[in-house]
Amino acid sequence: MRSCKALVVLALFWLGAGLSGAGELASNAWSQPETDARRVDPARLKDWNGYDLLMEDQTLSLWLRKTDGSLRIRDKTSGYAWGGLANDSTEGLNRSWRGMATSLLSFDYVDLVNNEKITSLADTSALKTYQVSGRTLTVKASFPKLSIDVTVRLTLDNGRLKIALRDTDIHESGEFLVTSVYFLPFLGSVRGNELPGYVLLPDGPGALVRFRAPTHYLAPYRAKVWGKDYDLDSMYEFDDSGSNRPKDYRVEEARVQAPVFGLVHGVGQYALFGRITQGAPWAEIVCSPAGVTTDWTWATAHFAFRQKYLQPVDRQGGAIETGRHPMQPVQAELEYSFLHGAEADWTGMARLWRQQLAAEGALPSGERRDTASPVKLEFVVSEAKRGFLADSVLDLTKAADVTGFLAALGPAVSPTVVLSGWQAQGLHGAPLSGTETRYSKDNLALVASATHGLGGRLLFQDSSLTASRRQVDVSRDAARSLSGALMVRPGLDPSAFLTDVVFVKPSVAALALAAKLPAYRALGADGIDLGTYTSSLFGDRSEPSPRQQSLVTLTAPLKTAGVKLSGSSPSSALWRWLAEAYDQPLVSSRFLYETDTVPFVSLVLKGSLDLYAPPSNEGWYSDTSVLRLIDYGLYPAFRLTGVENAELADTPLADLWSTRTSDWLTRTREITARVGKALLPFEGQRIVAREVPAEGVVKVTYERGVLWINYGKQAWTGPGVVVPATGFVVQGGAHAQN
Amino acid sequence: MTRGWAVTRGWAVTRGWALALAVAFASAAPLVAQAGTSYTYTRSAVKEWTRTQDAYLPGATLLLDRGLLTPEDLAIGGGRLYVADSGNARILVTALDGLGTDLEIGKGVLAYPTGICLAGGKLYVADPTAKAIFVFDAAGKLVQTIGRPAADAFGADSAWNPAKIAVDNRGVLYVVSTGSYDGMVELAGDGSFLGYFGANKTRLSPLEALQNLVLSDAQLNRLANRIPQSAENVTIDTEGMAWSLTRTAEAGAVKKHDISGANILAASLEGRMATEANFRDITIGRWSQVLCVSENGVLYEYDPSGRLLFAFGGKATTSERSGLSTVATGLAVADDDSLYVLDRERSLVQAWHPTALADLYHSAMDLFAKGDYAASGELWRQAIALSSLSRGAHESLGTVLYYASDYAQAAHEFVLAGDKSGYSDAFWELRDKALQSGIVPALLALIAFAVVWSLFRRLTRGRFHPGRVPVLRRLGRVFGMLRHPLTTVYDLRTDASWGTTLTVYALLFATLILRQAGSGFLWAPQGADRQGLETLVWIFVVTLGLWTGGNTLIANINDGRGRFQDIFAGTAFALAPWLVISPLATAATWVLTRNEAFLIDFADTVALSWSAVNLFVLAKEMHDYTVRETVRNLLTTVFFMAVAVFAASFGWVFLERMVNFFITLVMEVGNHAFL
Repeated sequence: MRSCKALVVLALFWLGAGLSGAGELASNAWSQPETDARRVDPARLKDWNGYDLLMEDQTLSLWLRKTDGSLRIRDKTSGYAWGGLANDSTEGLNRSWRGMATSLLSFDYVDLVNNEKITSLADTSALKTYQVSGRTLTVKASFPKLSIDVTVRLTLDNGRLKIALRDTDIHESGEFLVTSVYFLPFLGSVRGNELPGYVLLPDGPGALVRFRAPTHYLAPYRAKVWGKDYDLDSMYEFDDSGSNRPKDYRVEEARVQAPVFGLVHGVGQYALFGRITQGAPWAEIVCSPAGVTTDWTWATAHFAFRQKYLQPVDRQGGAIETGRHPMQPVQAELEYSFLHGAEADWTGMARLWRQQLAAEGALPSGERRDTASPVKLEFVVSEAKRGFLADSVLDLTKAADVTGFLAALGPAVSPTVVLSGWQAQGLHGAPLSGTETRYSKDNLALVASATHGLGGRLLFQDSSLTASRRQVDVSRDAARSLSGALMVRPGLDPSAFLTDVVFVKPSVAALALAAKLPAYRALGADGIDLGTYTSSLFGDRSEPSPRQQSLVTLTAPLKTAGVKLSGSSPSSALWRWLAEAYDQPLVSSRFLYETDTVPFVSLVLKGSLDLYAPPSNEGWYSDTSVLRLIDYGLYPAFRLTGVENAELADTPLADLWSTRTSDWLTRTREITARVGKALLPFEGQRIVAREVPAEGVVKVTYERGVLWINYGKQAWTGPGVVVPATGFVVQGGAHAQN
Repeated sequence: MTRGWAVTRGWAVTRGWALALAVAFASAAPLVAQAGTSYTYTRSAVKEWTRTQDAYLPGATLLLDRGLLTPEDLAIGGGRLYVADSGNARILVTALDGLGTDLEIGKGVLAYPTGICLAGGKLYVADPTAKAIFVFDAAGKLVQTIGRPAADAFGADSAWNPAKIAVDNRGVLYVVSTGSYDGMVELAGDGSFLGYFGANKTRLSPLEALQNLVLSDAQLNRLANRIPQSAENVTIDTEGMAWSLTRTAEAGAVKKHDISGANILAASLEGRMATEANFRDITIGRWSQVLCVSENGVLYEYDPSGRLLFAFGGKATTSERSGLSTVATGLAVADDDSLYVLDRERSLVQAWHPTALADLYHSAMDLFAKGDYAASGELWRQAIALSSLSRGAHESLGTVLYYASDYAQAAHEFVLAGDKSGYSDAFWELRDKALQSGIVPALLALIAFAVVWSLFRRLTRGRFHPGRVPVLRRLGRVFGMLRHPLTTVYDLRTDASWGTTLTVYALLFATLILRQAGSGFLWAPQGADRQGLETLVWIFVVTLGLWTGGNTLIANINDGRGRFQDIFAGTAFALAPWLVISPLATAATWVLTRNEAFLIDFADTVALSWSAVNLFVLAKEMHDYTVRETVRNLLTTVFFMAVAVFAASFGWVFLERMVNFFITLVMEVGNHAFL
């Protein structure tokens, strides 16, 4: 009787887990329904005096006011004009901001004492010449006070506007040095909430910043494309909270996987889509919501030609902020596309970018067609363990654990089995070049056989861009930052074992990977999980190899791998080389100014490669989390061991709190089956649209069917569909299911 | 527009680079992608703090557009959110989702309300600026104003600045009056003074005790630290008991008061509670879960006994994200367990919603409180499957199993929890069972052993003489030192061997290792108490080196006859009591419970005292000293050891500073040359 009571209580948990509070679905962790039906006036840009038509193609015409370099673009197909400010009334903006808001080019510069200032083409002392040649406008600007000359090129290309500036286009003959450049920062900017719409940011899966009345926020959104560059960026964030609880409490802000952004003026009305086509390793996406500094919400790409960094001046932590004095070989190019009608929302931008990437061959050939539910199962085979007398290697998952788990899951799953810590010395103990396996050949064959028996794939994890101190010779193999410091991020807990993270020289990591490729083939690997290799990108001063060069170095072995590759939250530059992408983000950084989280990246990638979520046993196990996986088109993943987690004490994995196979077998089966039931009918299909008809209700339209998801606790009735509470409905696809 | 690259040629030195202030993201463990913006921490057996599944997730950010001005408190009642909008001198009432029409209460009446409480269908507002408590009815109409208590017992000089308020189910008001050091002010429903309640105490440091002796009363009165801290906040739990917060880094930050105001929370009294020094608000949920928020936005959830379940949230330092606060001042819990945190600096309310893990904990606690241990145990097992490192969950399951008489499993859970007290109780039961069932076989085995040993002695009599083997003879002095220390010291002076001495030292070191790594669970050092082999070697070698070197040196100065090798060898054998007793004590740790802990302590005390006596004998005999000279020699040696440690530390610091100076110099030159 009592155990029945417990079971009833448990069932209630799993059925209702996740959403319990009023208004939870209204938070910025979710996508919000479109409620602002205001129409945008196509003629909202006033004050055309002084603007001259300089060039045009079939869809765009370019207008310029030569006095201040103010640019306006008219989309001839919709009649809508895009520009910086709606009119010349610029109350609330000082001279610098006014210049930035109006002109097509602004740049930061520093003087001899590293004071940073900004100027723009609107500077009245600047001498500007405009030259049109075909569909290219060349703007030459000379700033006599600064002894700086810049040349920027704008090109109309089949309805797209490209704006480009190379490092060689900048000439400095005095004491002032250009540090960074903004192209058309206020293009499409909106004052307060005078227009309906939003900014699309590539924050994690994607985030929207809806136009709202100015609110005092502390800082704008600034995120480097493809994440932080530890060559320059600090590995730490300051924490002065003085709490007794550990200082590393903050979940790191979501990475930017995609070098894009967009602005929407009225959903389904007008939109512009910005895409960094060159110079992404030097760029960051910037969005300043109304209230940060001005009353306007604006977004753009910001290219750094010289980077600032902290230069240590003593061993106690004293440092100065300084800049890289030789200019970097940056070729900055930003491309704008203009959308209208049904394409004018973030899903339209995703569709457009997917087309562009496909045309450029930057997307993989296609998602694998599974008939059973895909699931990624990472088994941690072994790990280094600190001992009282001597360190040892702890076997965490025996081959029998793996085969037993797979057998228990049965033929309803199509597993991607990833073996991490497969080397003899354990996950954080094995040298980068090590290929000796912890499992015997026979055991390895058993695991491979069990995997293949289910139609699955056996992968070995090889994340060689980060390592523990035991895995590398730190002084030889660690990359160096621009300040000359070894790139080693110390663990905060001095009693923890092997928690320092060494960032390995990209050349060393790439070489190690290339050297091991024959061994993987010999081991019968169906693929390699590259882990953070696909999500970390940093320059290395010891080579010297700036970030752009690192990308080239890291990509080289991928081209000749000969086995299928996969990786964690891969940067868009590496998508073309991958068959599976893991740890795809499910939620944005949730900055206060962000209003929605949207699956922008999923919309681009679904149908092109297999996408997997972060491990469900590490936070994504509730019913609403599973629905989110379904919504985002991601298959589930689990990180597992065969031992009780208490046994992970004194290993670098001591922070993993729930990995035991016996604890997760039932839920792995249930979650995989639930996600498979929803997504298998759409295998290989692209997402065509995604709408939020009501709070907590999502309609995902695939090429051959529709998937309805209801996060709420009440059933939702729509046109021809009743979506159960905390459930989903499949319409069409391979076959309809409920 | 000037933005900060650097103020002057970058020579604005940033100290924040220092690791002490830094937050490193991602440990060596694989990346864990969380749904929230802060990790949830709990206590584990092996680590002070360990991460776990999210217990609560940040929900919507509310009231961002309401123009709140330095709001100080919030409360929930009737499905509505009440915010003390202090700067605007009003109470703002709105729906829990922050939508719908707002109601304003107290406009024109309130001056700067900082504490609110809902009880008996009324809204109580503490306003320190107006120096009054205002009571409003459900419609927002002012029905009562309570001013400064008029009773003589309140005190003519007592401060009356009502800042926070709670009302129990009898209608008694508990008022935190800023600057009132006699405790919270307890008032009847009509405002009459009932007394002071739950006063904090001061603790005297040795310096303060000395000051008490030498300073006059006037001088003592001027010392602020003599004044007990006033409470920070107060709330009432589901049983009508008052809980209070005090801003202190010491024990007693959270208190549960009985009717007389005494703290009855054992974990708080014993200093076992994990707390924050800057807790701002406390609230109790429907499961009797205790929730506190610190000014830094860190939320702690405890079970009713004060055991920490979860810590989450935190400070928005460099960016504003949902779930991180700038200055948190208020906390309220809704009927569905959702939390609402008021951020005074950002003028908003942040909602948090419980996950399946928190729901499991709450229901398991509830079933346990109702005595349904089987159902509670099943839920705790599920909670452990999700969060297997949680000390609280293992302790709770262990307790459930103990009550169900499953002592073996209970002991296992207590081991996983690192709960020595619980383990001791379970082990006592196991041992009792084992003794009951195994006493006869054990006695038979003992008799058999005695017979076999006796036979062995008879058969080998006259054939085996250990004393004829030099190594065994010398090692035998370990036992000789126990029986005849004077003779043994004399033997050591004439017949010592480096090999034997080093062997004894190795055995001594082995006893330390055995104690460290081979003790039963109840005596096994845990967490920060665990010493690595390297540390033990250092302690052993340095202590030994300083003792032998120092003693010989001192003796040489003071006409002692002992040589270094005499002292070195003698010391090894002088520690014979420890060598013999310690392994036996270590073995006993596997069969004793905490009830018999004194036996281990007694054995250790005997071993150490006996060894100390031996050392005294050693010094006296080796150096041929009188008792007085020996005492002087030993005291001087101890002094020498202390000075040597101090000098080495000083030298190390000096050396490090010097190295740092030269490195800084080189870096500076490099920076000037290349930047």
